[in-house]
Amino acid sequence: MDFQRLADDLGLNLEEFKELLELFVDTSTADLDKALSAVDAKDAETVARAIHSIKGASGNLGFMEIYEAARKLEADARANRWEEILMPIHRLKDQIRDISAMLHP
Amino acid sequence: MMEKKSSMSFPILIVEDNPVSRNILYKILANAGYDVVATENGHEALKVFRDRFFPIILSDWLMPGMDGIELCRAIRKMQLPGYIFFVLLTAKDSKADIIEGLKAGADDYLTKPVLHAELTARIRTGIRILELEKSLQSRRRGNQGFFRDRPLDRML
Repeated sequence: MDFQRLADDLGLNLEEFKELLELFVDTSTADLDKALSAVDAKDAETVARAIHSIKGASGNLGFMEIYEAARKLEADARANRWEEILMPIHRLKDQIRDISAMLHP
Repeated sequence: MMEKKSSMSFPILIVEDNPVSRNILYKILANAGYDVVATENGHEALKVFRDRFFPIILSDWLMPGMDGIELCRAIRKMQLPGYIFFVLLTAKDSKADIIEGLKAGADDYLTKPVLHAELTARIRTGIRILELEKSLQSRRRGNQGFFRDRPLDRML
């Protein structure tokens, strides 16, 4: 993942971009935990809302792979496709953890 | 609430509930030299707006509490000292959604994810329109003065 290129795309310097990434990691981790609890409670609206938040943030940061996964996941949650939801949430958690690891090598 | 002052004469009010997206918008516009204030939802935006006039509002559509459409309608109902260029940010991109936004009084819309270059280009479009409005207003004031100083019977 080329943070410098993503920062350039937003017209930000690398330090500014990394600050945003810290915020993204924190908020997305909280959103994913919220989504996982909501899956247990079969609360589709809360899952969709938590994933919607990750979708918006990842898209604006330029993480298009996460954005696409979140977009599909939000649609699956809204359509109550419970069997499609759990694995992608865990995959997103892994991706967010990878970003965090790159920020704190 | 975040705030950055600069010499730009068209301050921008950002309304976005997502903290990452709000910060991105704020940083892009502040780095471009704009005077920016960022708020988290429609209610907070209205509170800030009551104390200070913003000719440009950049608002997310879907937000808890007061959403972007409701905020736009509320702003359009107010008696204000000048025009407000209202841009809606949305992940919605169907024609019906866009029409709903424009009908509520939005001047323009940006679909998310927002591109840096597109954002600043749309803001510049807004400023062109606001500058035009400003020059029309001052010309109108000038004309009113001209006719007030020259009653019609004396001109004939």
